[in-house]
Amino acid sequence: MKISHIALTLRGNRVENGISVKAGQIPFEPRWGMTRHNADLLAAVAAPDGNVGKVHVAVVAEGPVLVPCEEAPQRELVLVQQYSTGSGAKRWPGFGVAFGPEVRILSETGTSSGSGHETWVLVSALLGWAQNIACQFVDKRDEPGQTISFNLEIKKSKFGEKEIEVADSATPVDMIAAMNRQWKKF
Amino acid sequence: MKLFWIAPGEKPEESDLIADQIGVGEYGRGRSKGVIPVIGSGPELRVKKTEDGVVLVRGNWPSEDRCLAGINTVGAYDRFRSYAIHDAQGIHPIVSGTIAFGEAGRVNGGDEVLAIVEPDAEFRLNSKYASTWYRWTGNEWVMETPAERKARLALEKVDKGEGEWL
Repeated sequence: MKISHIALTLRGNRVENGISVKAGQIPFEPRWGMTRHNADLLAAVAAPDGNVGKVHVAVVAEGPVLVPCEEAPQRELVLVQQYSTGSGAKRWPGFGVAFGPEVRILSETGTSSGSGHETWVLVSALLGWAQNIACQFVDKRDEPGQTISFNLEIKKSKFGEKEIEVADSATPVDMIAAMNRQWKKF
Repeated sequence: MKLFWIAPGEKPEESDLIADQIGVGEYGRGRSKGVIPVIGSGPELRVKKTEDGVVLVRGNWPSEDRCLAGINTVGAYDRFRSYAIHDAQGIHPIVSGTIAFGEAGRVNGGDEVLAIVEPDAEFRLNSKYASTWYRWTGNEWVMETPAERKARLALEKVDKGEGEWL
């Protein structure tokens, strides 16, 4: 039996629909740290470049394989982008997740050098898991780095009350991009 | 057979076959050099074994799906990096030599090999930080990162109905 998963990307307090695909796999493109070594396979994807939304997941010795589908999702497939900020953004909090028995870890890869680091983990989780993690993360300057666990006390209905920042320009990378745009205008 | 030269992380380059001999490895302390003569004229090579050794013979031979590859396994200097032909399949060495770092040749190094390569042969070479897989299809060389190779194999397995569905 195949279980349909909704593909999500979790980074700090943001949950985005879909997981990006490039050259038949999930690309590892960290914003912090360096990848001059070989990154491990996150997942092979039987889809053209772009985004996948709903998928079936198979696991073979080489790693997970995502096959697009159209069925109603029963679980979440979450690409968790954990990070620790590097030089120039040390006052911004790092983001980590303490994975519990509620998720199945499918693959993992990370940076090995450079300023700051990132570890991306692909997990299969219950519906609502990514929002639960995201709404607990406080992405404000001078907040300490946070390693967040799934919290059963946060009910799914409360996600709406806690605002999830989807397109806020408060994170360091977005701030730098905004500054660059301003500079070009100037 | 065509002759290609391969170095870690770099695209294989086809040789023009104009030299009268092919050398692999280096002369010197902690090193060894292997030399193989090339005779005749023509666009294709064949390997001939004689009582005194092996020679490469140029000629208008029919083209083959095998090829010859001069494989230099040594990347940039690193004290402990493993420089060798890793996980090789379908590679038959004819002559080999050794390349080393440092005057005394004792720091680190690896082999340079001239080999006959069968179709679908593959092997992995380390460069200073990364690894690259090389695969000879019988017609061309395909280079893949370990992740690209895993992705290809994983998709092939799922197409055949293997694996566990979540």
